Amino acid sequence: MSFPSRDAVITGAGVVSPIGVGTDELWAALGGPGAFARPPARDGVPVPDQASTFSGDFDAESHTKTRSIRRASGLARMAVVAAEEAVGSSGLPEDAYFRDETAVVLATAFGSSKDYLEYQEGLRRRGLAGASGLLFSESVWNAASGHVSKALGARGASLTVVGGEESGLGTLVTARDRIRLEAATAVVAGGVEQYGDLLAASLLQSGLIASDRDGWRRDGPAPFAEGAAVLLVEEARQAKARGARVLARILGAARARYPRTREAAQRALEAALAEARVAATDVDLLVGSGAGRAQQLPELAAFLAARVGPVETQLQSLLGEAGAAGGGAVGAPGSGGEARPGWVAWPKVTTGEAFAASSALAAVVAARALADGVVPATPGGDDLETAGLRCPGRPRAAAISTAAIIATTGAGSAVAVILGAPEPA
Amino acid sequence: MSSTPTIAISGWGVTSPAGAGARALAEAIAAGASRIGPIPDAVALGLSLGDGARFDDALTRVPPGHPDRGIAALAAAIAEALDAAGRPDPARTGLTLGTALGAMERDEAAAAPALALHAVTDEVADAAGLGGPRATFSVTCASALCALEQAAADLAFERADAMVVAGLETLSRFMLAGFASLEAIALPPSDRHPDGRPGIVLGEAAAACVLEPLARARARGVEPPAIVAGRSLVSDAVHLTSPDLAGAGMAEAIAAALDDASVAPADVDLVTLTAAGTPVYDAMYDAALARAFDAAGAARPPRASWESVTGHVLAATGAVGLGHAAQLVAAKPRRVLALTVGFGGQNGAVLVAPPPGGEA
Repeated sequence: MSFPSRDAVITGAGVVSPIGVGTDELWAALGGPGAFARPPARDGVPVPDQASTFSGDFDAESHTKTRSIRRASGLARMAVVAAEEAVGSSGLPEDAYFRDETAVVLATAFGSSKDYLEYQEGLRRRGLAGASGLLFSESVWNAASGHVSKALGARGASLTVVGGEESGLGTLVTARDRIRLEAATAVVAGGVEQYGDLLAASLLQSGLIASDRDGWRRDGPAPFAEGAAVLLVEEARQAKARGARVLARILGAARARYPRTREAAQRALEAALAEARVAATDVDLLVGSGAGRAQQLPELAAFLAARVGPVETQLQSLLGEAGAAGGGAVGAPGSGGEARPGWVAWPKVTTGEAFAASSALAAVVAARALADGVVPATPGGDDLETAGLRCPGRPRAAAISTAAIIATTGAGSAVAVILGAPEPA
Repeated sequence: MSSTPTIAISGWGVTSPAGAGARALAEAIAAGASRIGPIPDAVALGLSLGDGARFDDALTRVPPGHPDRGIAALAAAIAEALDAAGRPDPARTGLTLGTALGAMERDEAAAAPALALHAVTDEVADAAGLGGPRATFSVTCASALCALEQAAADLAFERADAMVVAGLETLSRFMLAGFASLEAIALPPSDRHPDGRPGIVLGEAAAACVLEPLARARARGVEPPAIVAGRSLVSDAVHLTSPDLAGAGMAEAIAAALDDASVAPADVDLVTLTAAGTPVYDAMYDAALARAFDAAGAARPPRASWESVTGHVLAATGAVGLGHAAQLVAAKPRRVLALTVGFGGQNGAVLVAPPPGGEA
């Protein structure tokens, strides 16, 4: 089988997060204390002590002139502003060609559940009289992608993928597929997640989020966060022809599934590296995004083991975990540490757990790191230096030519994406 | 030069208000036997017309105590589709599912696991022993078409030998009330609507189609009834819940699907429609078909819909449309253009045709 040699590059990024609206704001806030506070809740709803949320629905009006946003759900508001930043920062002219050739692929784990549950409550209490048509149309899971397509005037396919944390990063696989299959020349791809008190209470009860920001230090997951992260993925020759500033090239991208998350992460990474024709030892930066503590460490360790030896045990003891990751060293025998230092970034420590948005945000962070030549800060990351890891607690200038992003969910799904620095002009 | 494989529909299955299985639906359509009638949820909501179509009669084989009738219906449709396709290697078969609400309606408290729609995909794929890629799409009535897009990409990049493209929607109070609040549901004559109000009638269904490269199906001794000759998805980008009345997006989708198939408008034998009966969608279809066919100097093909039997089956629509088109092609070789619409201004067009002869 042969395909036209259509490569995909990232030419724009957009972020809406309580720690910062805009990629510059996010970048500046990484490594800081985050925006964790007591989340809003109605009486009697047992929400976590801390979450990273906007107060009320995100104030999109301050960031966009798109008028239809006024009546849109909080989910759609975040997605539209992030998507507009991604397209705006790409410099892609929003002309008729753009409108015809641009697709939208947004991932979400819990979608419009806030509006869905509110609609249900109105229905239960007041029957049809309590059922608002406006709320209904915002309570379908594709409200966000629909609003984004409408706001951008993008007339390509408008897809909403529902999945776990990995699904946000997985939209880069889908975006690249569509570009390679000539179904689009540009794809607005990313993830979005919205806070709701009933959802947060339910996630807390299920052990999928922590009650406070230090949960991950106690062998638990991260606290809930809302937000949106979006990338503009573009066909490489088009980007070059219009003189676009390329943030990163997508060298490889793969999804994998396996009953055990660690193996899924390893398989996805191996497949993405093979596709990229990049050796694990040549990866300069790893950005991780895993759901829950037990899913984060193994994936980091599996990757790092390939470069600096089996560090899993050290990671576990450093972070106070006792054997949750299970038996045995993973990965190949190490290359002895003589390779270039492997940098690690873990944005979720600052942002909180925003599920599909978190893994898309990890891709935004990796692309920015490649473009700027800076490793972003991870709070507490300096503690890891003694294990041979370079997870800086402060931003560090570094020559980064290749970055890997790994995202996993507890259910055994993983996505890995390999990004390369833009080619010299 | 791109070289993607010709994708065959090698089997399909459906659980619908017509009963269990594709044959039950085909027979009900042939007999003009509508399964639309009063349903308790609609009456409980105080909808003056308490009409809809449920697939309860098809669930006689569901083990009592199964937690969710939708999942049971979907599992049955997938098993039927895999059987009809001669059971491709399950380890290399994946599943993409389109569903608006998944199994959320089974749990009044809507706990987090129920809100995670993709849990349904994992549950049915695990039960069927499918080891290939999985993905879940929630794009209202265009959901299963998005699942088709992903499946086609997974086959093109050889991530799987075969893909099950499925759609699921159960008729919930949420959907009934929602469409009622949008004034999209048909109503009988009343004081407010002396002549009744045109609109859709909601139904429910679970449907699954097995897709695989035609050459691969033939290599394992299966002659598929039909192929996906061309497809396209276009957004109006105009309104979240109403179509573009000028039909531009759907006309483009039709043109792109025909172009993808290298088929001229005059060579389309039949068009199948969904969400028919709603004034705005009827107007959109009229405009779109005029643009796509009149402008090309081609006669507009006859239109058909299975919704007179099942009602509008929401997120399952794309999968039922695909399987139904394959069934029409199997019954009589012809080119069927299956059109699907959805919230968000989605326009889907899929051209289903007889398999070409003699492909290696």
